[in-house]
Amino acid sequence: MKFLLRFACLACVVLFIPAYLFAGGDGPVEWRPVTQEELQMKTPKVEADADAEAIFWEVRVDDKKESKVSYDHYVRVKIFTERGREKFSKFDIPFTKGKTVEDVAARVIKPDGTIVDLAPGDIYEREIVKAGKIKVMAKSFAVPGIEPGVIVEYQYKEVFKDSWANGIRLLFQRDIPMQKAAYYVRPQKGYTMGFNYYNIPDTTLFTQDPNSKDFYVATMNNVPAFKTEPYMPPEDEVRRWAYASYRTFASALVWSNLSLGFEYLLKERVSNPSKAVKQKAAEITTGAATDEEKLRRLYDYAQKHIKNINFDRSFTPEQRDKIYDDSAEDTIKKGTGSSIQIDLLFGSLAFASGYEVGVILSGDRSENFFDREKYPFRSFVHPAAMAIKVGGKWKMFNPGTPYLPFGRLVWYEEAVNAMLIGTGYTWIRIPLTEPGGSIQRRSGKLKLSEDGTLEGTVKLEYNGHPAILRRRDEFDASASKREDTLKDDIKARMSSAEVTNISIENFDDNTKPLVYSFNIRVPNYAQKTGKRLFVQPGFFEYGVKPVFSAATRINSISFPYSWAEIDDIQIQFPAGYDLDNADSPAEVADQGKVCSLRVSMNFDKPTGLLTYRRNFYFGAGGSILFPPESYNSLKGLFDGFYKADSHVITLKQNQ
Amino acid sequence: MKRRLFFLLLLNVFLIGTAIASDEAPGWLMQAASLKPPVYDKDVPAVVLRNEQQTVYGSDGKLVVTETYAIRILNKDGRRLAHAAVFYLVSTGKVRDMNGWLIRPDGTTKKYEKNAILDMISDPDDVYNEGRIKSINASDDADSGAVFGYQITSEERPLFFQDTWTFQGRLPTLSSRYTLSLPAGWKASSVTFNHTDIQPQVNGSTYTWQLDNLAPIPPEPASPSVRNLAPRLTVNYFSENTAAAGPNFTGWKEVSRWVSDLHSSQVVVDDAVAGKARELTLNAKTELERIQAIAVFVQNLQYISIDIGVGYGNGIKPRASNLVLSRGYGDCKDKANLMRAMLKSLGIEAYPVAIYSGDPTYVREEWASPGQFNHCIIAIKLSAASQAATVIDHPKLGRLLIFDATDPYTPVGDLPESLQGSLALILAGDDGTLSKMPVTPPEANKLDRFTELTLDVDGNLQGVIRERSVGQAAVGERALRRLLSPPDYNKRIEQWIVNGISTARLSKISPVDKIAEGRFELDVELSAPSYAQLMQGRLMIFKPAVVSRLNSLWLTEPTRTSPIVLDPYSFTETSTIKLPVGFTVDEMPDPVSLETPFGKYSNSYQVKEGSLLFTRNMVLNSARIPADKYASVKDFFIKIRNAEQAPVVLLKK
Repeated sequence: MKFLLRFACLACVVLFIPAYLFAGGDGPVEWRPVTQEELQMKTPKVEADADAEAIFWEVRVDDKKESKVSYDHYVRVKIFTERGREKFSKFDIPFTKGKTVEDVAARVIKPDGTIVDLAPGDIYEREIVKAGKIKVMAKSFAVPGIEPGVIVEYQYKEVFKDSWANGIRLLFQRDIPMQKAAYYVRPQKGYTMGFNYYNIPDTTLFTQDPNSKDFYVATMNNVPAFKTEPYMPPEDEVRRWAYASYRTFASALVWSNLSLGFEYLLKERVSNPSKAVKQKAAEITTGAATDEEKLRRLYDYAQKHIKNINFDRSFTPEQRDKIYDDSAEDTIKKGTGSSIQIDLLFGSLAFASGYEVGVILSGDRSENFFDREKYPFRSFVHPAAMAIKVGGKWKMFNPGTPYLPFGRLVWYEEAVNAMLIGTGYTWIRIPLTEPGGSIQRRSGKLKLSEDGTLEGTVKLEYNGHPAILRRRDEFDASASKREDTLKDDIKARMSSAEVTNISIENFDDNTKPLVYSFNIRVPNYAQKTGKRLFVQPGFFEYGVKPVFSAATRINSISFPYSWAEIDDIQIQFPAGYDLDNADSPAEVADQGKVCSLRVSMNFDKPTGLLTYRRNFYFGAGGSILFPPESYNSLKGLFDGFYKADSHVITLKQNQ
Repeated sequence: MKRRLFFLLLLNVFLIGTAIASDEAPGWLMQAASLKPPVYDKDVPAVVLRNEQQTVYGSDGKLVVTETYAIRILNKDGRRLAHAAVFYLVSTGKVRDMNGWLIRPDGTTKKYEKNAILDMISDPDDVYNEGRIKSINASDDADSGAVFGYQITSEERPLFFQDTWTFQGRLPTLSSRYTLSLPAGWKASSVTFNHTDIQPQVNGSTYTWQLDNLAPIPPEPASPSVRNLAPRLTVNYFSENTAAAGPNFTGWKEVSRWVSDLHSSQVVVDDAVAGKARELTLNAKTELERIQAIAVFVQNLQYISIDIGVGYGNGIKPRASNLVLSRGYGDCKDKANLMRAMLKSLGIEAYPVAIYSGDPTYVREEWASPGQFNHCIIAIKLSAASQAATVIDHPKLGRLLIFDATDPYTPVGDLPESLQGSLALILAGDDGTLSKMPVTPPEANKLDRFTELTLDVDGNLQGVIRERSVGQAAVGERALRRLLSPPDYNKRIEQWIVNGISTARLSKISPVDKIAEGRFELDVELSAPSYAQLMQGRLMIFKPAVVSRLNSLWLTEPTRTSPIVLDPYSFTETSTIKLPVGFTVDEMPDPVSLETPFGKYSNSYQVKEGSLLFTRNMVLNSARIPADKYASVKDFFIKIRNAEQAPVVLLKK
């Protein structure tokens, strides 16, 4: 369900608000004077290592006319390196029905002041794609005479018909640094425009333009480029941007209005079960003794017995459209429904069974850290689950997502703020599942040969989020492909590993752990010298690379969820070898008990059997977000985990 | 990235559900669907039941091509192969008709009609490209067991009278057939590659070549491209009345003459071209310095591919040199042509060279055709006084310096590895020949690493790693340095070091690019707590190959069907690791020395004045090794990996 929503949003964003747009060449163009300082600039001002730097990047948003909104872009960029040249060397200008691109021009100014204009004949108009009656056109061109040292500047206007400037994102940070970033916004007459700022300390950035009182203007100087890092928070939380929207009397009622809509939906589609729905609910719950048993049965019915069209690619959009308005009763009769309909059916069945039912609208932690004060707009929440009151407490369920077990939500719907809508609404915080809810249990019975080969049987058991993600990523893959994925995962750590007799259990049964069992043989797992063998007993961490390698950090560190690992490994040593050394690595943990790694080893000399047990968890107490200042200590912890996991013991040949 | 996403989204938006249900499949598809293929390995995603192309050359000068194709999907991974696509050029081609059908496992049929056809540009990354692709995507509808088929009729005007046909891709193919129908008085001849000669069945002026029951070609690491493995047919067709036939290549001289003519008119030496050449070479004292000055300028012009008017020869013909200079961008042939014009203005003769980029073994002498090439470089006539590693002796043209004006990382005197040893056509009119491109020796393309490190009593490591690379080894380093911004480059170097020394902290990274000399230097200063593992305070172990250890293997499968292709590689490492005071060496790995026809590897260990001296050397030759020698290649790399994982054991005195 969620991915479809995101897909639709992305499609709109990419189709209608492209990053670099040009077209035409059909209007008179005015260029502002270029200063000697700009011409002679040899190094970037904002970031020393920049490949290109915008001297200014201006966008004028004009919503004066009711039937359309226009965006005038004027950008002047200094090119410093070949990478900068490559980045600005060619452009595509896509446009579709409902949008025009006008008043476009581009030119290059060399350090000696020589100007190379883009020749109109070098603009190549083409149909990018055509399917039936839908067409996407583009005008494309290469920038002439571009090389390090030049200034490239361009202008263009996008005009969107039947649109307005309500709910638009204004980017004050882009992928190159900017000496000056400016937005001018003219709202529709009679409307008041408001601005919300994100990662921008100045909350009064937009003011009335002194040169044109109809416009608001905001300027930021010396804005560094937006850069990504591993394990960083979602872009909305780190990039500098503003959200422009019209403020009306309804703005203050955004949440209550949203709630009213969903209350109506609940009333129509959930709290008014037909006779057939009631009968089905009674049939399903007959004999169930507890609330949990009843709800599990209803959940199982909705998730397993109704074909989910959002996860079955054989349904066409037309076929999907035909059933989007189906009632709960229709869904039961057809045995087919969308993710939302399956959720509503579950809610309706629960209501018919006597439970109070609500709906959860949550933020999406993969996109931002939603807070109703910070993001007071309905588009920042989405339907995440049905809420059922059990024993006075609300519990959340999303049977419309096939790989979600009873009572679980996907990771980006945990540790987020959400609306609980029933009769009226209330704000809640959906908690983060503790590490114990996402345990990976890994066990191996292995035998080490004198030549260093390790072989035996292995079992991997995934629970919680790791299982959900694996099921999500491979729900549509063949059994052979799933086996290949497992092999690829293992070979990424141990390239010479031979994996055979793979068994995958419970892939389609999310009530049970996802289990992989297989035989493995790893030649030269242990290193051999003249009289010793060196073995890493932490078999499941063998070949894993350090999590953090960079010495410095700009952004906060954000993990998707908390997790735990429990490893039980037995290694039978070859005859004729004794332990030369088998000290266990010390526990690695933080004072706040957010994470811990404990390794214990026991060697039974008579049998030559080493037992290795590893207990690891991370993210306890809901700690999965860390400020950049804690990077060094966090990296230190992960380096410590790495060192303990790659700890080697020594076997010595008997004399 | 945004562009790519844009296109993916468009594809998804347009391709979902545009089929019409309940249509009859044509007889040929029903017949194909009734075939019972053999049982294949479970990894084989689909089997091609019928793969056929009928090409009709009419007296109106048009080629009408009908493709008929049927595929059975064997598992979920094969669903994506239920896809039909045809390429065409806007200037000279069109798709007359395109239809697809899907026969589901239950026997019902879907027909894909006009509204299911997606018509889009062939390369989203190209600005000036007239190539387009029409496609039908049935992958969302195709379950395991389904049969997808299509028939496409397109027309084009051939630029020259040759064609090529590949009998299969990687999939097993039950029946594959190529038919060529010619007007009366025309004839055809063929050459077969990657298979024993295939003779056509001839019926009047219709020729048919066919192969059946082709086994799958599984993807394998370090394998030749599938183009060099799958049976491939090349065809020449010609009128017995030569005057009416147009371009007809009976040998490489004819190809050279035809392509040379397309190039020579574009060598325009006007004031701007000559002036720029003079300006660039103002301080050059020798012939080679003049060439280098021009080369650097042309290499650094922005690369923009120009594929407009391809059907009229513009895929082969460069744009005029003065136009390319004024625009400041061009593609490979434009760059070679501009360089030729600038050199000409200086009195230096040069010739364009047609070559295939990506596989030095692709071009075959047996088939004289411009269709074998996808890239253009330059051959510069050199006097006896100038010396360079990439000079060839041409029987008629004399000493020729071979240079790729498109590759910005390879200087004059070197040649990109992917072109070395390739057959290429020197475009010198009647004097043009298919010639072997130079191959630089391993010592001209090597990396030397020097490490000076100190290990203390706690196992902490500190010191410096210096790398000196030359030739194609330097090209890789240079490309990395230029493609990444300085912060990203530093991160990449950090990752490289941390992969060998997990706790490493880098205090200084100093890259120096000496492109004129074909060299690249990198110095890294580092410290690493607990690099060596100290056990109970008495035993210390560490790996003396601190970075770039061969940790993983890429030849891991027990058996192999295709030859192994090795790229040349050469490196040496000399490490001095000062040992901690109070420790002695208890065990050192045995030195390793491996020598094979395709490569050599050796390492050595020596303790001297409290330091461990560790060396390792490796040379890989450019080689194509038959599959039956797979075990020896695999064993070679396993032994290297084991040698590089081997630790040294120190004991506290």
